[in-house]
Amino acid sequence: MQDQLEDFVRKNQDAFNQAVPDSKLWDGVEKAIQEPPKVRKLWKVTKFAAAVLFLLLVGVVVGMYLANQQMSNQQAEYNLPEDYKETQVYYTQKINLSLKKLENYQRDETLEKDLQELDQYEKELKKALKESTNKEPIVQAMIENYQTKIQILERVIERLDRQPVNHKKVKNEGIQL
Amino acid sequence: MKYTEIHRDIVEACKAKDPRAQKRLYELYAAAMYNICLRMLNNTHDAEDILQNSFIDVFSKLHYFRFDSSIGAWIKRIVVNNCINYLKKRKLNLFDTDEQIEGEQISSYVEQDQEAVLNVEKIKSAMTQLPDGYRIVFSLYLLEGYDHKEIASILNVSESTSKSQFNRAKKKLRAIILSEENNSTNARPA
Repeated sequence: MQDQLEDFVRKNQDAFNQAVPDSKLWDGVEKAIQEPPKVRKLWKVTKFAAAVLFLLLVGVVVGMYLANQQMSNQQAEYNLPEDYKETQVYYTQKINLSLKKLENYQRDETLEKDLQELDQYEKELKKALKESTNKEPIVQAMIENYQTKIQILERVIERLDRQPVNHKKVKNEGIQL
Repeated sequence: MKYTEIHRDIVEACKAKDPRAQKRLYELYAAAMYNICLRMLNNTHDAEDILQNSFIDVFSKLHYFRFDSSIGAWIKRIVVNNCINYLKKRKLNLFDTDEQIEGEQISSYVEQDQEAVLNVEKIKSAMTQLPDGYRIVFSLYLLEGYDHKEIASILNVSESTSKSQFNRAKKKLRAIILSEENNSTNARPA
């Protein structure tokens, strides 16, 4: 439904669009559109950095946890207080030395039985040491066990030593003869 | 080149946040959009505000633009929607009954004048005196180039409402022009 008014307006479109916006208006638009991207970009970088940091942190924590667990496992199996290890070495050497001395001699039954009992006890203690969390009293018992063993062995050696002295003398006399 | 591809290079650069392209796009369309704002809002200050906000929207939503229409049509739709939303906020119903009654009342009075002398300034001045609802439909249909179906969807009314509103707007406009003509004739010394 065309009419005079419609035709006139359509023909003169351009004349209806002569207003010009203030050139300052762009400044407001520019300000508004340039600030948010910066913030967004910064946030993107921060987000990325935060994610990396977080992952690193998780890695470190997990790593430390695993290392810790492994260490505590090792501790359960082998790790005893350092001074106990030394003590153990000291006593084992002393016992082995004594046992070596006794190698040449016939051991009597009671000694054999005592040593066996002590060995058995030592085995039990070692087993207990592996399983127990409270190692202090067990270590103490093991040291006492070693000491007892040494005492017994030393007493036997002492006794035997007196005999070979006689024996040696006899031997020497024999040579002299 | 397809008409939807117009200024594609500038649009792509704007999507990449190139400041020079952004300014270029603004310069290409700001004046046309400002005239639309002025017609819709009938007020320089509001027109400037909505123009700025619309271009801020344009740049922030540009990544949604897929060259389905021309960039000009896409920007125009944002501007028109912002104007309508602004007016709706100011006034709940653009098509309230007062305006419709007013439209009915003037109809008989206007029929008599078919010969009003038309010129751009007279029409422009008369448009500023139209009620919001009339002025918007009049502008969207005759100057912004939307058909009644599109206007119906923009204003969320029926197509027939848009048509009848447009006819009332024309009648009212003629009445205003006529009454101003009469006033100036009467004011002239005899």
